[in-house]
Amino acid sequence: MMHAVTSNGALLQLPPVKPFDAILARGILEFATDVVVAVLILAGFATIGISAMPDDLGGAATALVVTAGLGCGVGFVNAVLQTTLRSWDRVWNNVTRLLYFFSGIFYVPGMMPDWARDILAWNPLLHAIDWFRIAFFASYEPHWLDRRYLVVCAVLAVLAGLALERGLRRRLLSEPA
Amino acid sequence: MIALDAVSKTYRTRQGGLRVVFDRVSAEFPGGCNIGVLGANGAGKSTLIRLLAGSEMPDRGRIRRDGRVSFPLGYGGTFHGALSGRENIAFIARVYGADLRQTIDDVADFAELGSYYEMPVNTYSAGMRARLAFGACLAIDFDTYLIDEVTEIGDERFRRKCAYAFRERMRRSDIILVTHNTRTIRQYCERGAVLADGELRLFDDVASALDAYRRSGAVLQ
Repeated sequence: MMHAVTSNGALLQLPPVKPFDAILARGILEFATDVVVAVLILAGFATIGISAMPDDLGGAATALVVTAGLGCGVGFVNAVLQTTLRSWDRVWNNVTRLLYFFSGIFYVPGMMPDWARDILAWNPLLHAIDWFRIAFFASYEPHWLDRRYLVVCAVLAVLAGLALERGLRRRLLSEPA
Repeated sequence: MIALDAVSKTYRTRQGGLRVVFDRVSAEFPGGCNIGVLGANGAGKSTLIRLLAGSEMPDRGRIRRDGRVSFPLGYGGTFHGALSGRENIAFIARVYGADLRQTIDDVADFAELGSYYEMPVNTYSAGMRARLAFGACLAIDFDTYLIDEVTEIGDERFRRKCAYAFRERMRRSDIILVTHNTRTIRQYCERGAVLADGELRLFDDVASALDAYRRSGAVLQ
């Protein structure tokens, strides 16, 4: 979503198409792509006889949708920032690379020392991943999981993204000299 | 009718400086007549057209539009390079809510791209792109057409075809044209305007606009 505005100059020459449309369309495309990939992987496992379906399909889907909301909000923020700060993508990509380690993907929060988990629990993605994880493993009981925190973060991210788009709208529709 | 109300537009140059293109410009392009805007290179003609279209927004001020205003018809493409001419036209037709089949066929007829209609726009020459853009613009019913100095495209035959098509369309639609070519403005417009030093002055006829343009030191073509 980050380059939705900067790489769509020709599209945005059509006056009815607004930066908002381009950013949202990219967000929907990303989400649809990920859903298709997930379905293909699950179907692939099913055909070779491995049971990979989540026990709680509704829970997994809800976690995905809320996480997509967070991603969409952050995507809006990034797409707007990218138009003013041309190196923003490099900064963002390098900083968020750390999130692979800080979101409890490889190192399950249940195996972390308490003090480390208490700090990393500020990261909304850790909640997103554990919310998704418990839909697969009923025996996994993350007492630190705070669904409401993730929802609040997602809503705030969307609001921030929309506010930033509104505030800088005149700058978004401007050819660089 | 398109009205500019205290419109300001400034660009940041790569060197970090500022270039003021418009400073609190107010003007009204009335409906019912064709207006040609004269301006030297770099006076902000293309910026004006993009502002009028809404492809770009002013830093300050408002622009009001009555009726359907076209996208800017000019060298800068509104096309996606990886999509074919046909796919681009289909997209534009959907954006403007025009009949899909009809628009695709109309543009195919007008642009005369042959088998290139199915090829990515990246593979087009500048002239072919312009033909596609003219076709797209004419296939959709706009009340005001915004043209950025591209009446000199293609070969003689295609130019005549464009002139004819626009003349036909001008019975019910208006055009606003920016150019530094005096022949073009005489050919299409009843009223003129001059864009210079961040100011836009409208005149009741083309002759006085040309006069003012000449006095501003411009070399006429």
